[in-house]
Amino acid sequence: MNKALTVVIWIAISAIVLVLVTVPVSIQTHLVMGATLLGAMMVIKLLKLDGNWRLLLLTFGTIIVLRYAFWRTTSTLPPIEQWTDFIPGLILYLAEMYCILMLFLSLFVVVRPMPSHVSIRLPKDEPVPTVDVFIPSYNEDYELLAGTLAAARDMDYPEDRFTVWLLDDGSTEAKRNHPDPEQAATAQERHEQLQQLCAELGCRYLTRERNEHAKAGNLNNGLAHSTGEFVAVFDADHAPARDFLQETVPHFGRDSQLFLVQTPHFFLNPDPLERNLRTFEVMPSENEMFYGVIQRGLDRWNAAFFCGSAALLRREALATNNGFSGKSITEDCETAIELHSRGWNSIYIDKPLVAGLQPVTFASFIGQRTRWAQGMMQILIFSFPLFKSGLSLPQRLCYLSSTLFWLFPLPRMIFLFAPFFYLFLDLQIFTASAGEFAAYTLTYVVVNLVMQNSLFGRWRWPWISELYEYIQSVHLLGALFSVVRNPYKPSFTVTAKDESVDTARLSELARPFYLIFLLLILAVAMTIYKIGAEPYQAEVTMVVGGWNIFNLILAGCALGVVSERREGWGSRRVAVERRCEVRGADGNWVRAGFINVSSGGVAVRLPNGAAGLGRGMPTSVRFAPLANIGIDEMPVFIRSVTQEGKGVVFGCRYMPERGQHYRLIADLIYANSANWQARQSARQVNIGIIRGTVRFLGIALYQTGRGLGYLLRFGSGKVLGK
Amino acid sequence: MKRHALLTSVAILATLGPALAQPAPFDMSPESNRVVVPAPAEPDASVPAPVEAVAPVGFSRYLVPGASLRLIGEEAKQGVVVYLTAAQAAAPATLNFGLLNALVVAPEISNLRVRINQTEIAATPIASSSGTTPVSIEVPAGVLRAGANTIEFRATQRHRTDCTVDSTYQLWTEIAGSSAQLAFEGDDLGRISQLADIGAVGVDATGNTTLRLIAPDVADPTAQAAMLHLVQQIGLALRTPKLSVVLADAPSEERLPGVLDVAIMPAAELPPEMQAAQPQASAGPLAAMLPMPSGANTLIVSGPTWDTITRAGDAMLNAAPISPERPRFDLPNPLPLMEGGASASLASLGVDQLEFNGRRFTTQLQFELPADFYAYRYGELELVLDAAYSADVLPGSEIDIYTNGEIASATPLLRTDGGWLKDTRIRIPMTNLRPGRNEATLAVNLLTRSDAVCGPGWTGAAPARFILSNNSDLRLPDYARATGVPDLQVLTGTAWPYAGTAAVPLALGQDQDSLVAAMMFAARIATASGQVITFDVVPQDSLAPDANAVLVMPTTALSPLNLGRTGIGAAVATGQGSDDALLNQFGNNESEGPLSGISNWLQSTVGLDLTDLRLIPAPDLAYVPAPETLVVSQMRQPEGGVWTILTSTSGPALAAGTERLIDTPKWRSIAGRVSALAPGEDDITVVPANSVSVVTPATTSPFNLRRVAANWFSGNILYFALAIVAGAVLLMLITSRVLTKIGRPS
Repeated sequence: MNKALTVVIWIAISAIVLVLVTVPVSIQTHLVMGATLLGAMMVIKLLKLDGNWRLLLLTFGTIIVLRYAFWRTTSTLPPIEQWTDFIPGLILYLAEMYCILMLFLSLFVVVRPMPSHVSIRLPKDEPVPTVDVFIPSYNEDYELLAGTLAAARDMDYPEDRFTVWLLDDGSTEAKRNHPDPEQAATAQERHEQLQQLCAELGCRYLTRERNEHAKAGNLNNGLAHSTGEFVAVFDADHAPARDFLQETVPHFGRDSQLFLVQTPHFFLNPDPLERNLRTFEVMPSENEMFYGVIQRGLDRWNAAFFCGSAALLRREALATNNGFSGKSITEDCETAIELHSRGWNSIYIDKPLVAGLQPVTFASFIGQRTRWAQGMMQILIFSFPLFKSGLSLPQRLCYLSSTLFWLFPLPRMIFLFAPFFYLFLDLQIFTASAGEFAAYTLTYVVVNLVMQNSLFGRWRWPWISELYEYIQSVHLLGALFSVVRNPYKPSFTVTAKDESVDTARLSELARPFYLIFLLLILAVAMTIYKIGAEPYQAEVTMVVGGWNIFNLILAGCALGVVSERREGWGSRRVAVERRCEVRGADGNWVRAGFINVSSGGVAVRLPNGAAGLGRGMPTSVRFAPLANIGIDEMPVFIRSVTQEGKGVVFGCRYMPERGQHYRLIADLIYANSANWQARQSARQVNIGIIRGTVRFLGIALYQTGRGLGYLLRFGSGKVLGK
Repeated sequence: MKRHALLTSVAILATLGPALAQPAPFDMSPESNRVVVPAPAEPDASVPAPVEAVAPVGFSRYLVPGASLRLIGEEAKQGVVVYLTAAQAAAPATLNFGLLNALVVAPEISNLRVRINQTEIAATPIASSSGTTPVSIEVPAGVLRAGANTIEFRATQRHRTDCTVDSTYQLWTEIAGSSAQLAFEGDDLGRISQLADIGAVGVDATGNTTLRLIAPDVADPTAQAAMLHLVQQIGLALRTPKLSVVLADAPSEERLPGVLDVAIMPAAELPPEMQAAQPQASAGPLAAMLPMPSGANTLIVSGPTWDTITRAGDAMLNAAPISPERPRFDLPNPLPLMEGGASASLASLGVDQLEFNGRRFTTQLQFELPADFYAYRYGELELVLDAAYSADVLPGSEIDIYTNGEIASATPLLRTDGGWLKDTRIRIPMTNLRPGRNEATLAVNLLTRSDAVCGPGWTGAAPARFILSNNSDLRLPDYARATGVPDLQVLTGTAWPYAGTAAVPLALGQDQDSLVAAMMFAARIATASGQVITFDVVPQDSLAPDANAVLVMPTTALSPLNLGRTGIGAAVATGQGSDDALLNQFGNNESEGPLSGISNWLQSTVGLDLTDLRLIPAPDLAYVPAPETLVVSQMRQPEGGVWTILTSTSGPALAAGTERLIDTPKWRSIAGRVSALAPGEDDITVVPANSVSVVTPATTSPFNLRRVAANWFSGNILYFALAIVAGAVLLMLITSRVLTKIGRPS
């Protein structure tokens, strides 16, 4: 059977199934059918059947969702003449339809994610291609840049075939000549320090006249000054592993139309939610769903897109687009969609090859998400993916999915407030009896959960998506409206990565979360009152009240997210096992071994005692670096001492004095990307819907209490005042 | 002004003593929930029957096509249609009837209004709880007209003391059929001289209309076919709901109410007293009212041959056609046929604009659905309601819709500040709708703040609290068009599948009882559906299973082969048969099983009937009629013919049972595959069909097929689940295949 014929048959069978699904059978018939399919889905899931069984589960789910959509469309909208019911009813309906559309789009995207690409090596007899490594910087501090530059320089690649560029937008000519002398001096100082750092590390330093077109302009300036065949881009806080170029460059040899090899962003620190909810060590991170399955799914349809960092691009392809696109504030995705539409290909390699930092505070997390959401909206407006010429149909659907995703604040907020229309205003915006609600809506909700869990269960636990969406929606909603009002207005804001939360406090963005929580509590009170006062509609009140309570649980959990826990630097450690030596108190080198490393320090075990060293003493460690750095000794400072049987473990802090020392640190931390993968997969476990739900409820309950506690302790002036 | 004058013309005959005319003493306690039964049909010996009391000279007509008219609830309306000759319409007339009402009806605030042809001719208080009060009303000249006249009784009744919704169920007023008459002054007014006036035959004191058929050749199949055709046409022309037929040897000796003599025979066989018609009858088909010396109204249908006689009946229907202006005696309200997508305003269905100050308001309406209405398991019709209610109305009040006597939808009134129900859509499941005539009741239960207090006299003094606009619309969706077979409801409501086709073979028993039963059955189908079925009387051995057929004969006359083809089991006194039937009776009591708990729960919470979950329907076992029980059974032959049988264990039981069956409430209960009426019973036993085949119209659109599928799947639930699963598996397989062809290879 050839491809066209297969697709025609597929369309024909789909049409038949669609006709069958839209037969307006009685509610009892739907209920029996729904129970049958749901039962079958549960069996498939419990037995962990894969392959075509997984596809069957998704097909069953699709049918139930379609029937819900059909029923919702034909039977539940309030009559148009009653516009006070109809308008909110229609809005709720559209929000639900958006969710169903997104479900189907994501179903398409991840129907068969690509398995990992096999590592390949460069052919021995061919010349090694040249690579320019761009590290754009705007305001990151010296230490962070030093670490990243050092890690980039340490990459395993012939010395003469790659150049590391620091593209410094923090000390452009314009900034150095800023009218404010203080700012000008700061820029000048930064300019000189970084120039010296680059010289020490063997990197190239580049800045420009003015900060035009933000990150894209900076990268394009880099392109203009370099000539390498390929361009690697790392954000200033994304330090590459040693094998980054080894893993990525060879793929370009196999496909001359390949413009991008993207790798995941792996983070050493938790995001605010993970930190405040203490889930970082056990639960898969938010971005793992995107990099663990969605990018792999996109890769199947040749639609994996550039994520701004941790990627290798072909200069020839970029040239056809005059470099990186800068119309939107998400230049990465915009560049990818442009190049895809010109027939270039991309691949995604599911192996963490950079280690980065996430925003620490809730405020900067929201800032970062605001940029992504606004940028994706700009792409949606400027080049609507569904009608973008040059893209294949799957690519159009993929980009549609990626951009439309960022509309999530709208439905999330609508779902939050919809129960109020009934509870407070007595509007009937969803016309259905309790029986119909049970037969259609309940089966739909359960099926949705089962499908999401089957698609993303390993990477996303139940209800966590809703939580992430909710905490972002509160502030993103306004940002979305501002893009729609003026698509050219949003400007590139650089996400702060080097903050820390020294003391426990409430986030400066916490206020609306408490207000919403209060409203939801009032709605619960209203529910109880209504059930008592209006027994003739208690059934409907209980359904709507239940929905409101779900919102309350979500909002309570979010209180925990905006209650920032205190956390010091560098506590996220990576286990390593490498031999080293420590200089004892007498100046002699003592045999020792590294246990773990972090960006701030290292733990060293001395098997035969402390060698005269103790807490608070400076010393040095030396080890054989994997790259050719030239030195092997690094100054450290002992911060803690732990007895361990006969031996002792020192907790040391790096005391780098020269650029080369950063290369040693990078050698320790970023030497082995396999480490990171192990750490990720340890928490990528599907815990199932029931356990996940119970766990979520537990977290929510605890976090609600913690959030309210923080409000009492720190909230007096911040949230309730003003 | 005029109306006022009319009111004063009401005269209550002073034939009763003053003490009896007084309202009942105010000592009854409604709180005791005492149910007041109407006085026995036999009037008190001391009270002379009104018929004898009035009727000075001239001629009286009975009006009510049934035993009585009952007006129940706070606002009630009952009407009858009376056909008058021109002479009757022109004569001075008096309307007489006897009134009896429940004890709890408050006389000072309850009244009965009488309207003839939309003109109110009288209003009288309802104050006859202690015994039947005769009422006599002079009909003003010019109100009556030749042809159809609608006489309507409208009661406004309020409880003496109780302000609850429940108390309104105790309110009733009854007008006995035997007491309601129109009395005309003048000579020979009972004579009907034109075919067009045939409806003036009317009803007798019990509400019946009887045909006395004078026919010499009752054993001749051609004659039988002609007679069957003719009685249907007469039934339609008369506009009676129910036509009793008796075979008579000789003309009536006097004119009796509700009786029509029909002489049907070839010209050559006309008896001496009808010789006057012979010249005309010998020349061609003849149907005419023949003046008889006895004064009995006599219709003669004749012609040179039986073929021409059959054609003669058509002339009668031409003279007295079926039209909206000529409604059936018992159906004064409009009866539109509602096709898919049709809508009708309540005004066009005979509902009045109303301001209501009571507790429970009800109004009836009716409409007709075509024979191939097939949407009773899925789908909803809509009542787009324009109404308003005052702030006095409390939440918990409800608008209920009943269809064919079953509750179909309940819409609570939720807003507490009074409300204007503008274009409020009430969705009404079509579950109880059926092909043919459908009855719906709109009921509004009002709980109010002031009723909770219920001060003295408040039941009548409360201000209006509910207003119904008759601009409200009844809207039908595009519904599925198909017919399920067997389904007796379709036959008795619409004459499907026998009407409008070539002659239907009819196998008739050899006895006269079978012929009489067949004629009454056919006439009742005709009066219900407005359709005439052409029959071809044939011997039962010549019935072909691939063609439709009707059988009317006692079971004893039925050949064993045809017994099997009609779904009737032979009533065998000994042997296996009766044992099986006996055992089977227990086998059918499924609800006693261990699953009954789950089954009942499903039925009550989601309306799911576990029997709908069968993949293979239980076999439709032959029905063994009990002795003397009348049975109608329909069966689709494997070869395609739809066979219907009307039978009983003996000829007399067949005729007697049929005469009871054609009474409207019983007739409307006929349904399923088998309907049986036992001699002493008033309820029809219905055996639903387990295996029903669906016949779609010859030309049908894909959209209709989809709707037909919706109805079919809704009754064959597991098949829908299976079809979906099969579709899903197919889709999964082809998707899996497509995924190997498109996208980046792994």
